[in-house]
Amino acid sequence: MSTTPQDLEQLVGQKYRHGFVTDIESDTLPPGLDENVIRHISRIKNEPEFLLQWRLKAYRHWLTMQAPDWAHLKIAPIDYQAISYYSAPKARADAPKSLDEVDPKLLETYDKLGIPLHERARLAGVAVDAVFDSVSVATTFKDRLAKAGVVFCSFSDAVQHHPQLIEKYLGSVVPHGDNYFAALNSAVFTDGSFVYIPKGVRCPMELSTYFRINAANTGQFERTLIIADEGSTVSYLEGCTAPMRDENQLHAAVVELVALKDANIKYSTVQNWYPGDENGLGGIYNFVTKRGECRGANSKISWTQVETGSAITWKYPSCILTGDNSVGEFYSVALTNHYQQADTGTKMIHIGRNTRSTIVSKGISAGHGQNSYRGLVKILSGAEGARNHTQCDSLLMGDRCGAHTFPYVEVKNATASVEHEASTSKISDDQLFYCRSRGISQEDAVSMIVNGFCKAVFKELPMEFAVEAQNLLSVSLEGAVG
Amino acid sequence: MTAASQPIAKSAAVTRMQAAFEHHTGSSMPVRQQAFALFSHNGFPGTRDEQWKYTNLRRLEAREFGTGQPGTPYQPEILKTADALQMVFVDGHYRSELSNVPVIAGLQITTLSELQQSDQTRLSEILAIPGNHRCRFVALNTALTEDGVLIEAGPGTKLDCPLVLDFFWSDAQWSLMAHPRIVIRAGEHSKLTVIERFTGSGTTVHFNNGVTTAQLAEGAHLEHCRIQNENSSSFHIGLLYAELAEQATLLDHQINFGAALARMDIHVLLNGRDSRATLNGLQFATGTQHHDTHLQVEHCVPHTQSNEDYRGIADQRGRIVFNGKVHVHEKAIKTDAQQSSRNLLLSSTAEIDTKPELEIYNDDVKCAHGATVGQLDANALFYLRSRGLDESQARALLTHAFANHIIAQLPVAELREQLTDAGHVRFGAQLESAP
Repeated sequence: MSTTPQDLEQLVGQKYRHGFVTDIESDTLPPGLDENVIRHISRIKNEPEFLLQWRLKAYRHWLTMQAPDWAHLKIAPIDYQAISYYSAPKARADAPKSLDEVDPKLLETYDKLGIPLHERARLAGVAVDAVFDSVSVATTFKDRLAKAGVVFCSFSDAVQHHPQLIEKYLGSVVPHGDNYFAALNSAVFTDGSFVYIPKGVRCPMELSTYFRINAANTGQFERTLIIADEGSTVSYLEGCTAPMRDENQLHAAVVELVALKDANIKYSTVQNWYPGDENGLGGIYNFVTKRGECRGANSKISWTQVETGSAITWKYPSCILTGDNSVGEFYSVALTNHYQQADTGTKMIHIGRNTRSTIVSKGISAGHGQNSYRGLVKILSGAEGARNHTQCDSLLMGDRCGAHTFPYVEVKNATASVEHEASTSKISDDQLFYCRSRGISQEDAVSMIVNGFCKAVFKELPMEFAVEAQNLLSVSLEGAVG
Repeated sequence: MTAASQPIAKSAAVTRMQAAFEHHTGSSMPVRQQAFALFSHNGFPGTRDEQWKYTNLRRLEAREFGTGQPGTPYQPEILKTADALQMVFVDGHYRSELSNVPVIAGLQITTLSELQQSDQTRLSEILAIPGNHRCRFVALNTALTEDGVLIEAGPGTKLDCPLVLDFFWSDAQWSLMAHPRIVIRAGEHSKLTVIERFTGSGTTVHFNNGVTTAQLAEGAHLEHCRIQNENSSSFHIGLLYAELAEQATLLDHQINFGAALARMDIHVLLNGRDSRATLNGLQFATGTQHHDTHLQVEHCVPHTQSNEDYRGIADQRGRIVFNGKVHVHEKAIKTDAQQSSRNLLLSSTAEIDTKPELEIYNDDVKCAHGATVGQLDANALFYLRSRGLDESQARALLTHAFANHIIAQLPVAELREQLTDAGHVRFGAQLESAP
């Protein structure tokens, strides 16, 4: 491990110097937000009337709301009028033309993470038309998906081609006024992903692979909607392990999942946005609303997340277990280093009979990082025989970091059983000493122990990402101990 | 807190408290005036306040409470405890003729009503809101307290017998409120046991708002119990605030059986190295009872230890709320904090809300918490049924066993027996008739 943490921060940091977009091109709206901006976005995207009305409803509701302050986070005030709410995705003039122009240190990080060669160009922000390989691969995937009847496209495409599905499901899990950031997203979202898996179809590939090579810049207000019709199965991976090029400071995305009878959705996230420098300056605010509803009987939604990036993370991927016998799962690794802050967790709302949920949350704090688990397990009175098990462990490294747990348990059914356990520990000197005595370097030993700590979550990730996620933790923790 | 800067229209409840304050004998004392100003500025907490999320005070606010008069005739049934010091309060006023407080070397007991007459400076000093506590009921107590007791144990004083503080309501037909204030100063290496008992009778709705503050000097040991058995229409709100110096130990037991709505806040500061707090509690809510306990333990210095063991039982339409918070400060290395919240939900119309929180700001700690909500073990029930107990007997026996874990740790045998009996009644047991 030759890279010092400073080097790493530098190489991640330099791509974010642009901050908010300032150079206004012809297809970028000037900063500011009012109803005209929303009408404009809707017109550019040629949206049907119902969507415009929905956006306006969300915007009017947002105006009446206050930014939440209950999270265990210190958030500098955000000027919503200083953000440009529409910028057509196009290659930037100053983007590197090929991999040769990309900072060699960035490439070195990709190497450490084991990112396939053909993906590096896109991740490094090389102008899209220079990446020929990916385009052809993407087309092959598209054919296979089309054959299975799977609809997987950008949100804007879905609005044009499947408006009836959008109208039926948009906002059905995360309503337009759900919370401050979700309301803002509902008003101004520009794009995102849409997935529909028809009845009885098992999606022929992990949508992760496809996504990694095809996702265009969807902007800071991303909207994802995944619908798994009866008896279907899908696995979806969002984000990626490599440090992403991104100019926006505030990210307020919304993800909605709908699982109908016997459907199964697995949603994995690896988030490694710019965390700010080692003094806590800059960095992405990641305020995401993610929620899935197990609407039909025997359905299942599983969230897996590895959160290592962003200056501030505020997200609670949740499951509403409406259908009888439905299952919700949440597996999370959240890492905060330097001055990063994370307030993350999940909500499991048990409504149907014999619903089950499992929560495994692993928080790692180093440096001045503050890591909070905030979870809700709610058993409503009709949820006969509901079960929940929550395990929530924290690993602390250093005497200036913090690990916090705020688990809410609300039970209204006498046949339900709920268990919550949490522990806090540090890397023991004994374990380190043992590893060192076997000839393992300090940093490798730390990384090995941390990976062991997170194993229960990593095993839920799609295979190739599990490998990358392990490497990612090592890179993110370099220099944190010793 | 954003609304704090704007004057809020005072609710009728606050106006009524204002009237009570104006008639109070001590209303000219600055400490009380400041406290009342604080209370009337903020008013009663609402459910939008995170600390009161699950507890709605609407019913308390809607009611009018008078103030009890000293000397109301009343003959309470006093716990027959061998050689206990006993202080009896009726409607919030101390009754010396019903009490038994022999002079003990090193132990000084002064009632607040005495201090109100003789030494207001001292009274102001002990009434100061502990640690700038934000709880509005502490401010209300400070403003309106009529009576209470200051217990000072000198250095090295070891009290063998417990000091029992018995609080009763007279048979008044109208609703009364009382704001007893208990101040415990345990000197270096002193040892004492203080038991607070709140006993209700009849069905008249009363409102008790008690505050107990304890300062434990180096090596002091305090065992504190609070047995709340108000009648099931009353309101009971209380705070225990304790500061522990080096090597001090606090052992606290909270038993919540009575009241329509009971809320306890327990706030412990471990300020000295090797100080230790053990906090046990049992809450049992049935009928439409609502029991809420909020714990906050702060580990401020290195090498401190805390242990929380709370159990809740909710039956019929009862509701149990538990919020346990362990806060480990940045410098408090080698902290050992264990927290457990176990709950039995016996009816589908009952509700349990539990939230065991940890806030940890350094890495050299041993902290764990666990929370469970469940039912009686079906196998154990089956076993008892196979031994000839009927369903209700078997359930009562198991429920009692669950509760007894806390009751068995109480300090005085008579108290344990009394609570065990009360438990039998409450758990609906007729174990005597069991084969």
